[in-house]
Amino acid sequence: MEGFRMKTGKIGVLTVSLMLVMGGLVFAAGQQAEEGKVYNRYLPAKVRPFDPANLSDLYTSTLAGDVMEGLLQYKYLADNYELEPLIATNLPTVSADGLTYTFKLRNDAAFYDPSGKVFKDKKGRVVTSKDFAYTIKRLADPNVKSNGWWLFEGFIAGLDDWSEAAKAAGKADYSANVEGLQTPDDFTLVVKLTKIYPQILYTFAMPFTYPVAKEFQDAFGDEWTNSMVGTGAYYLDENESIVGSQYVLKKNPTWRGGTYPAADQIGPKAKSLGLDRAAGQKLPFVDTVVYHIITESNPRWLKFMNGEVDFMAPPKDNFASAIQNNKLTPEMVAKGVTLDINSSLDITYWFFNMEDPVWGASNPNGKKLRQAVWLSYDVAKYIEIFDNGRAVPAQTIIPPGLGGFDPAYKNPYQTYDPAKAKKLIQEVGYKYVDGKAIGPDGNQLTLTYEASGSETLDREAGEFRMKYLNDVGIKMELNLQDWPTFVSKVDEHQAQFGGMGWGADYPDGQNFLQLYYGPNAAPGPSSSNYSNPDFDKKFQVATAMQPGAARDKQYAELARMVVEDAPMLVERHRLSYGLVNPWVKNRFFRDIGAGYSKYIDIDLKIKAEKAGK
Amino acid sequence: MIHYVVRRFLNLVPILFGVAFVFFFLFNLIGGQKRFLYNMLPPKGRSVEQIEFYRHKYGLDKPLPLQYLDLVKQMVTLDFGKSESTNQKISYLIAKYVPNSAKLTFPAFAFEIIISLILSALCAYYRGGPIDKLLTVFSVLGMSIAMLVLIILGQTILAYQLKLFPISGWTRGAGQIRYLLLPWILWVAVSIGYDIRFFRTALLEEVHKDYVRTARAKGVSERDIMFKHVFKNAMIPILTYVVISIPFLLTGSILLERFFSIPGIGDLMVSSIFTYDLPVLKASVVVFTIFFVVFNLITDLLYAVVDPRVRLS
Repeated sequence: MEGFRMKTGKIGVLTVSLMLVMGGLVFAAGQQAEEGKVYNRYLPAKVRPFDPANLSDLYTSTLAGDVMEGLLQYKYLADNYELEPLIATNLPTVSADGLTYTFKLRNDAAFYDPSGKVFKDKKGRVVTSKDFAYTIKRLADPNVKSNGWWLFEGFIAGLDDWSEAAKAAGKADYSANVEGLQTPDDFTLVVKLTKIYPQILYTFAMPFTYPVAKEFQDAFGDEWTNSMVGTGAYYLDENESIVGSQYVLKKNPTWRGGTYPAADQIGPKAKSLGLDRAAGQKLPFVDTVVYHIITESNPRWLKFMNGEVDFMAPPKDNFASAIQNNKLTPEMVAKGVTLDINSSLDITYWFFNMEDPVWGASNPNGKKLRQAVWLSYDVAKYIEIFDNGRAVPAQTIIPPGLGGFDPAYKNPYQTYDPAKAKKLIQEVGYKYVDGKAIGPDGNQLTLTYEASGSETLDREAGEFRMKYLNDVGIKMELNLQDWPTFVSKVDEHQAQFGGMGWGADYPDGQNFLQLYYGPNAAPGPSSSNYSNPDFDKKFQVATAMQPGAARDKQYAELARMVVEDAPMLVERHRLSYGLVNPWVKNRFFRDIGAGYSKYIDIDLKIKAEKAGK
Repeated sequence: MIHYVVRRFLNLVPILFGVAFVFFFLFNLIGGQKRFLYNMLPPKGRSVEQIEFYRHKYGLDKPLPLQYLDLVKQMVTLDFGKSESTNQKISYLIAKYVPNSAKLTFPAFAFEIIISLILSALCAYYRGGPIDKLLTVFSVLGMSIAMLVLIILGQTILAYQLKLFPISGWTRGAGQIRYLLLPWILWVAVSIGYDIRFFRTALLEEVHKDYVRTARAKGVSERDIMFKHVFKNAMIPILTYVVISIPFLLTGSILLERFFSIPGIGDLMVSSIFTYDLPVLKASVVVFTIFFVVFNLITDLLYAVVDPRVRLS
């Protein structure tokens, strides 16, 4: 017995000692101290390849935007989303007929290659107009399968033909001339369009048009999309980055430089927030930007509370601990955290398949049935329960902040009125028996709602909606599935109705109104397959207009025009809630665009006092 | 012995054929092709042409038997190409991620087994007494608490409030230990309950056998009884339990990898399921199959070492 105890005891002591030693070694190393000013951001999902032609993923493009640059960018501190030159010297000159855009490029925007594998001296050559022409051609290359091609398809002279030729040959010929992409010299890019398309200007601020250095592709082969060679204020430090865990950006030592917006470039809202203090100062302010990949919301929240992440959108489960009645809780106030609430340029909606026999365009009763469903649903309640109040009911498809949004307009169907809903249902021949809407065939009106999602919350949201339809006698079948299955049903016009969302690609109401445009039927963005020739004609005219009050008026009219037809139930525009730690300076909410880390400053003194306390 | 080992390795080929068939059958049964294709497409700007492009790229336009043979070829040659999500070579991903998972699970497993053996030996020795009862209660408690609950509690209390460990993250080199400590502790905490219960049972089965009574009657010390006889005989079921668990070490750390942001193979596998990253899914199935077969073989070999009655033939 004694011997056994001793032996077991020895092993136990040895194990515990080993653990203590290890723990001691680890803690003797101490916390890894940050060097210089570090801006800690997070991404809730893993990043995808850094190929500009396929940079449609929000998180990847946010990261890439700090390293790569386009011809244009959005003014950081303007109240609205205005474009300004970045690699271009000025906004392009536009010909009188609106078809030719001429860009002049800076001669000092140089690629930086930290690996030295592409440009031997690391500081690479300057970006030229040929790089942009090459980049835009890649969007049309059938072998690249760019998910940004839809923005350019049919608009640039000769590019569609070039794409077709590439398809036929099995390989793209980049040396072939494209009429719509001319480079008369290294710093002039001329883009010729086939039709008036004012929105094309925004595409030059989008990641799809970040220039690609061909030498970089040649040097890295197929692996080139795992890294980045850009012209921006930061570069990707691959030695400190860990794939799948964190991406570390360091100051680009060869960056041509830039300045914080001058006072006259700062809008009233930014000024009211005191964001003009750094007006005219040299950029960037922080030495390092770290993107932490944190897929789960709990550790993300804890890292924010511990000062390891500088700002975040409060997760649903932690919302109440941070915000009550749209105000910060005392705990947050004590930490010095600030709350930033802004409208997102987005919309969630239900699409009604206009090809469906029950309520589609071919059914004369369809309109009233769609209107009835709209009236039966309490959007405000949904927002209260599922969004913690972080949304506003949509009146039309255009969100606040964009031209065409009419704050005075009240959608007659965006109101919870089950009595009116029932009346409409009865008007099209249904009778109520035991609370059920029974049709002439003796069957209850049954509709199938398609949605994507596998979490409990998705099911609860679906069942919430079901309850409202049940209340007006409609039997709603909820079909919850994964995203690919859902999308394939929508694309094949098999979904009767379902839930969707759309976020702005650029700050133009056209981006939302196109969801009603006939030729955009699924697999295009119009999930409802709505077709209204009158709308289509007016849409073509309005979207060819230059931005301004006249166009805004047309957009507003178009948005109201489709309300009565109800091909969609426009549900809500979400609000963005951001919690910002007190040492973060110059942060201004931007829903579109990237490359904003260069404007951020970190107050190290405040961080030392407050972080982790 | 060598013939036995060679024969077992050769068995891997038909096993892979079988695994390929089951994978292929299930994948097509659940409509995986369509899901996979549609997952390739962006949320905006989808087109029928893109669907056909990817269908052709992955050979999904070939007849089903040819698709199956392609799959078998990939599994046997271990050539799966690139991840569709990250465009990185799968061999690169496996080489990068498997060591991270191994660093997370193997040491934790070793601690778990050592601690469990010690505690279960105590239970067996002091069977029926207060120590045995206390440890039994502790085991049941450990078995009742879900890993997810422990992770959240661990991160919130131990990491955030008490600042004993980092909340999450990863790094290179020796600094990784800092980020592994809390996951190791949580792993051990959630696992030892099961182990103690099992090991205790295995030991007690031996303790009650006639040969132990005989040895005691002959004056053999308790230490010798426990370590020379009981332990050795209890090793066979314990060994089976331990070795069979090893292949699962790689996939069993999914929660820890996700919550602690450790780039491991478990998280990669789960992500590939959600993103329908077919090349990664196939590679994961094969890697796991090979691991399982190899560790089954190791189990059998160890049996022969531990139990002289076992002859490999």
